[in-house]
Amino acid sequence: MIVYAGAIMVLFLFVIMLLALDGEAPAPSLTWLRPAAWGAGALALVAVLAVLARDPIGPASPAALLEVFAGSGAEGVADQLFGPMVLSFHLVGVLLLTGIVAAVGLVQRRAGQAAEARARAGRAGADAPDAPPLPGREPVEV
Amino acid sequence: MFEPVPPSYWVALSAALFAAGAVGVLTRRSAILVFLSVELMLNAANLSLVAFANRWADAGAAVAMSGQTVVFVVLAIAAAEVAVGLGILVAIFRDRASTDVDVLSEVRS
Repeated sequence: MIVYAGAIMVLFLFVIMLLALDGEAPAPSLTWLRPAAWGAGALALVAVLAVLARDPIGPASPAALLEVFAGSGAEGVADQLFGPMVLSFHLVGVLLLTGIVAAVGLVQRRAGQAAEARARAGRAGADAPDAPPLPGREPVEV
Repeated sequence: MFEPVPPSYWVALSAALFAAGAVGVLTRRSAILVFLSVELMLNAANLSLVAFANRWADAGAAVAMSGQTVVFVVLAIAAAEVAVGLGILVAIFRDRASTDVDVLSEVRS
């Protein structure tokens, strides 16, 4: 499952990016949003739990579970993927391809700009800083 | 015969994860943590789908497996979303040296 490997990679990415995270500023611009969000989250959780407590979802019969999920279950998923869900399967393929192209495009554009900025800095003087200047904060060339 | 876990427990856990994700999206100001919370909500939905697929094992393999197959689709959508999202985030971080969503509220170059 390449998609799942990607999900695990994203987890590592999150951890790495979180390591570089300094503390969040304490004063939000919307002061009412924080308690409201906690209230809404707690309300939704309590609502679901209340429904479950009032009307619990019982398990399927063990015989059916053993029959349906015998083995790895990969065959059953494949039957679905290449049977009734084949259209969404192909759409997911298109989606992933679009995502790859978009991600590569974002990085490519950035790398091109950085190289261009370095080249410009090299032309400007010998003591130009090695780090590429931040785009958007460069002095406007007239 | 074994004793199956009631799907109520999984749905309750899924609701807790989803609530945590929703609160995270609304309260966190770092875009990375907002992404992480979105992932949490997506995976809470996945847990629910698997739980209900398990619940409907009585209805036959086709019904039970369709729930698990939708999880595959959700997983792929999450992967695509994160790939593009983190790409944009990295580009913005290079530009502004910040991932605070309040700072990013006006996206102009």
